[in-house]
Amino acid sequence: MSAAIETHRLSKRFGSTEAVRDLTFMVPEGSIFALLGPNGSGKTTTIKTLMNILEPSAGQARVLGTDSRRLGPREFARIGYISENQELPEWMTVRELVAYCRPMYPGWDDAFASQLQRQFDLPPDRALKRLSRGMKLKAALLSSLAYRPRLLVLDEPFSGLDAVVREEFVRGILEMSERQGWTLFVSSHDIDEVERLADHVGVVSEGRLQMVQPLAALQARVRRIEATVDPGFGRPASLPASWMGFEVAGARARFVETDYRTETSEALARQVLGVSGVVSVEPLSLREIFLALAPTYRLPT
Amino acid sequence: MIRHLLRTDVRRLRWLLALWVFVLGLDFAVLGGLAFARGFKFDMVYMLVKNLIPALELLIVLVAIPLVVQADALASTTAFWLTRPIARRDLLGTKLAFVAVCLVVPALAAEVAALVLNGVTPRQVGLASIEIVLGWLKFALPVMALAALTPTFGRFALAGVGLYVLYTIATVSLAIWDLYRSRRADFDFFAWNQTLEDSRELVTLAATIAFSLAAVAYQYLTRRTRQTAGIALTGVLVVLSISHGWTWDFVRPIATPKTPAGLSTTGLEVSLDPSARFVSNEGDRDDPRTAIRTGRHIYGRFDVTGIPADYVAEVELVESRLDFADGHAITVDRQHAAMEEASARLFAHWDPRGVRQALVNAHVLNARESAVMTPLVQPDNDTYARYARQPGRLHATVKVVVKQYQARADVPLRPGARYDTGTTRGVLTEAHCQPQDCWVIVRETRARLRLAPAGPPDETSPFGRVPFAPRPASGLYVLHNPTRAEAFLPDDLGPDVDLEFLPRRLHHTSKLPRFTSRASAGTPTGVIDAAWLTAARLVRIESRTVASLTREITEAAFVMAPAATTAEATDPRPTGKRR
Repeated sequence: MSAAIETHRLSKRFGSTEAVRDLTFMVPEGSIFALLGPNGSGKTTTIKTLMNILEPSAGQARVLGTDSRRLGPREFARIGYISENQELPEWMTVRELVAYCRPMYPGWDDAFASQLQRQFDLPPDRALKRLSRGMKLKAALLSSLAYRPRLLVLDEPFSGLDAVVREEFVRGILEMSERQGWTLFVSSHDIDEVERLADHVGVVSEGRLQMVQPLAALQARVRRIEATVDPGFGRPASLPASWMGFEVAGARARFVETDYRTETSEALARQVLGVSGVVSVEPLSLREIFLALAPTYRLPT
Repeated sequence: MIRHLLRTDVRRLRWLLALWVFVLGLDFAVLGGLAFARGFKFDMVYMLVKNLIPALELLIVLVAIPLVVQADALASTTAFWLTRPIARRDLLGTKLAFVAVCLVVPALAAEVAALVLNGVTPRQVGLASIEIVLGWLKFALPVMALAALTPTFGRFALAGVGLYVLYTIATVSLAIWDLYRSRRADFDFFAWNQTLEDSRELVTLAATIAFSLAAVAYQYLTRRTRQTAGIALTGVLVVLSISHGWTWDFVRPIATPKTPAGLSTTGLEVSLDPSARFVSNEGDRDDPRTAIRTGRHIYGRFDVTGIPADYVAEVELVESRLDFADGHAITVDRQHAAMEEASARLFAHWDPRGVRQALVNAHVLNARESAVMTPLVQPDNDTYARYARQPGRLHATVKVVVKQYQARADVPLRPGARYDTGTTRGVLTEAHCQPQDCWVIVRETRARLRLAPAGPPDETSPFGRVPFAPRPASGLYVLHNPTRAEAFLPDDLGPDVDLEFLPRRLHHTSKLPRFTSRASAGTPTGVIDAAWLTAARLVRIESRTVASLTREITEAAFVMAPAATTAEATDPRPTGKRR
């Protein structure tokens, strides 16, 4: 499988602050990759470095096969980029924005642009500065999709959007991504929306990539296990390293197994907890996994 | 792509560009109007707007450039263009094209059109065009570099004000350092070298443009803001160093006119008029607040004889030394002599003999004897008290210039009458004549071009470069009646004063010569009356230096104190110089 994005020990310093450290990951072509992490974890810096907005301090990144430091017009003609921080030429109307972008892209599809404009319900003659935040985002999306990019990079695209717009946005992205076979690289706080989109997940914290997994593999690997324990059950002196969030409520002991294996995990639970049977093993949502991993954002190796 | 991006920038700034074109149009109308408008009211309009329009032009450029550069900001990580297929060199080309096509070219067109309307020659227009373009680039490119280094207009404004303040402090500090480095108590007038100043200015111009362009190009092509700031800062330091330390004088001075064939100065003799002596009062020049005690100034008048017909001679500079029998010596301070020379040029007296020659032997009816005296020696008060009446041996080196007066223009006394001398264009805007008194207003316009200096020598004088400073009058207007072969000199022959803080290439002056035949105006031998005025014309006379020479004079028994019969009580210095 070829990589749309590939980084090797990518680092970015701002003075004495190391915003991104030794990031190594790969985004397979055609995948939807979500980069998750708390505020200030280095997501936006990573994306800006990938997009050649910032120059890496060390390491390297390749985007669509090109060194990120050499990304130029040819590459950007195949990349769509939308960021919550991006400054749009707000003095333009939607129509003028389309006219401005069209000559830059050999692959610009007027019919598709018109379709997107209708679909997003964008008023063509209204200046961008007079549009709501959601509408501005749609205008940015229109200007980034109409040339059918091979790679779409979204940096915190859901920030400040209300639920209805967010729903429309995610649905639209999903539909088009599936139809066009685009690679999507998205960073977000909004784990619920990301879960609907992503098939690969990376978690970054304090500038370091703590984990990167296909979402299905992650969800298969992280499970909640619940067991019935005897009254007066005492917390074991030591717990396996792969158990997170261990708690006892009444006759139930509950924890998240971050290295779940069908054949061994339940047996290990019975042995450690001294019980004869496990009540339930449940898959977790991405949000639950994220929260379970929150103290370290790390999976045991 | 460049055309597409340029069109977008133009559309974005269309209102500011419309204002730019309007202001340039106004500038053209005002400068062009100088050539056509009648009446003094237009001169008043010009006086009101002449500083306002250039200031507005600078302000518009100061706003337009950051707006166009920061529309696609370089020192930002959120600009729209950063992730669009726009090549950096295309963006650089677009912004430079905007500055060139939308700002510099219209300014050039407006100014060239005004120059052409004012009769400037094609060669001068060509050279003026280079000067105009370089002048705008010298201003626009540093502004562009600063705009490329800042992400927003607010940051640009703050950085601009900060840099301006720092640059001014550095310039003033260097100027003060220059003054004290010379180890003189006063300004070294002799150190002024106009061609060296011109050389410095040219190199400063080249360095400013080169460093600004390098910073702009580097920032556009690499977006390495810190390194670009380093280039810009280096540029500032280099420009500061050049403007104060450049020593290679490669600009050729304006050639002195060749001595006309047939003019011989060998018979020209200079002598000191023994009857004309003036001594400044004790303490006249002393300043009790300073340690400088200049004491008395002994003035004398030189007679120049043997001047060929059609020429006049003026003493320009005197360096002298007075030796007494007891070995004591007094000299004239060289600085003082130079200042006197410069002042004499400001209050250049026009020799009635030369005027008469220029007007083909017309009789100058209100001619006055020249009373201009030259400082000879400068004793302190004690020395003067001791040696005032003792004869000493005076040795003076006298620099004399030979001039020729020429009537360069001759117009009827009628509003709207105009002339063109090739370097100066004039319009007689108003004439108020009545018996004994005739007062006219002449609007003079001429091009002041660095690359094509022409005309009177004020361009080469330090005074010519200082705003608000008086400059030598560039010509003399006389009232001439050719039928009667009579002429009147104007009452006041003082200097011109420009109230310009942004010097322009097209320079305008309003002259208001007044001619009177009343007794208070001297002792005229004729009268301005209705019959005399019928055939009167206004003549512009210009002087041209054709030769300069030096003569050594020795007076074996020179006495500083004036003889009792001489006009000691009358200060012979030009009226405007008395303090």
